[in-house]
Amino acid sequence: MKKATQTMQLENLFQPIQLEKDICYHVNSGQLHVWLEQGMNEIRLTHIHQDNGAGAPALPDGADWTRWAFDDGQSIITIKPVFPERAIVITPESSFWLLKSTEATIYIRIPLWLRFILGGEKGRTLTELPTRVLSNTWFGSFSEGELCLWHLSDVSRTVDRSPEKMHLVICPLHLINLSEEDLLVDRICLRVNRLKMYHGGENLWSDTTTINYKGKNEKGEISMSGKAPDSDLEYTLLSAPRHRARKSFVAKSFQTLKELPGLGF
Amino acid sequence: MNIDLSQFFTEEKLTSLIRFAILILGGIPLLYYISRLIRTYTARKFSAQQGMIFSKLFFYLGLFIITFSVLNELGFKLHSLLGAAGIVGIAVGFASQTSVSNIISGLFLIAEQPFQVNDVITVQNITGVVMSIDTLSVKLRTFDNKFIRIPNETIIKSEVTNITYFPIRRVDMTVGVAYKEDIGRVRKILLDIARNNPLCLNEPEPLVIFSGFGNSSIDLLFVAWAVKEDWLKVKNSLGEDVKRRFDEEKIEIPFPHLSLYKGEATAPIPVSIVESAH
Repeated sequence: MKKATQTMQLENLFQPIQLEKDICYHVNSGQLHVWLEQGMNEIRLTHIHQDNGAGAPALPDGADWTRWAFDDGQSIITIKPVFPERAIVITPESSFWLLKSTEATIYIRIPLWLRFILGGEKGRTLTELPTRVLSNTWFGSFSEGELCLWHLSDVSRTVDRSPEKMHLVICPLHLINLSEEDLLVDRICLRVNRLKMYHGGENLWSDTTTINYKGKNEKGEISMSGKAPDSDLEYTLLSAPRHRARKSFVAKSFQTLKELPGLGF
Repeated sequence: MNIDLSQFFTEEKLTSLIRFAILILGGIPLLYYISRLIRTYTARKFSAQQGMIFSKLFFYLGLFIITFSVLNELGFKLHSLLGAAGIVGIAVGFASQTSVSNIISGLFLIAEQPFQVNDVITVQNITGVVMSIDTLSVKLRTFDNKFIRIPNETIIKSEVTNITYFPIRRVDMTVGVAYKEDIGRVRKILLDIARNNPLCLNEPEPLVIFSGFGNSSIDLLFVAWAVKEDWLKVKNSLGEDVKRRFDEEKIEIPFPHLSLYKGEATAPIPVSIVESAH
């Protein structure tokens, strides 16, 4: 028997959801569409990524369901917004120069991930899904580095608080150029797994990352403020960092492979 | 003849026999067990390669101690043994040059580390996953699940390609398009294919390199990068994406045509061109 579908938007999802047996829940955030239903001692989930241009998609025929079986008739699901595990290399839509001995605060929007948890917030994680599929990129040299996600983003000096972009977390970034050279900001490696996420107004926010740039071959000091951005909004903490951050750490944030020998064959 | 067993089985000899039994029956299984534990623990904590080295070091050291303890229990004197070993060593040395060479080569392999356990290597046209680097040989498992044993000496003397040494790998694909196609448009489409493949790395950037004018096509080298774990998936998916997208964009992938002649050596089969109905 076909179940009735109930669509839920992201802002309704921060509380645990009691799944009813005869309802198929459709969760939408960004390009992500998830269908959730409860069966006999199991929960089934399927998802697709699709733009909402042509309206909300229907549950695909022959959808590939992932099933989780359990023995206690648990039917509460909590959906928690989180940052991805991997760092994200942000490429600004238009790059800019940060002059030597200057500093600037910029705002970047990053797609969030949704964590599906069986039971309350401290329950078992079933899966994590991105609200937009990001492609892979490499940050480092040919012999060592880290696999990151790649994201093309508009980088602005002011905050765009439009509520329809709720699946994009606003990340304030404070860049300080301590070097003796101007810095071309055409990519930034942001360690999002050390950021907290807040709900404030009609948007999601992270704490502020400060990056001290000390030169092309130097590692810069990176620190996370650990508190909600300063503004008139009231913030609620939604998720803690995946990795317990020390106050600060050193790493490269602006390296590009183009500077390495061997690329021109 | 009367044999007095009580003279043979003196208390001292019995104690010695019990110690001998404990050393053999208890010591060797215990050695195996602990060395396995070390391997599992170190592999989990550090790497499979270090797990293998530490467990082997422990095992051979333990075996050496047990062997000498057993010989001691049997009444052999260590200094006479070492004296005899000198003479025997010369004889055995001549007979076991290859083995010694393999052992020394094995030590070099462990010290130099051109590859480690779980790496994929190619040696003399054999490609496989390194299962272990042992005293005498390296054991490989090929992708069709064959077991190959290559003596360490052979590896030291041969060219070894470690396919998984670096974290990222390049996927190369030769793409031929018809002479009528606009190369600039083809290049844009190929780069777009790479950009839309989530497993393809955005950096290092994918490239389209003009390869040459072929017999029936303009040949382009399409290169993209992937992390080593995704290399095969990217190679397969890129090929499928290129074919699908070229079909959509009506870009022709030419292939060699074969003309058949019949009868006289120089006269071709008569062909008449029929006008298209469209």
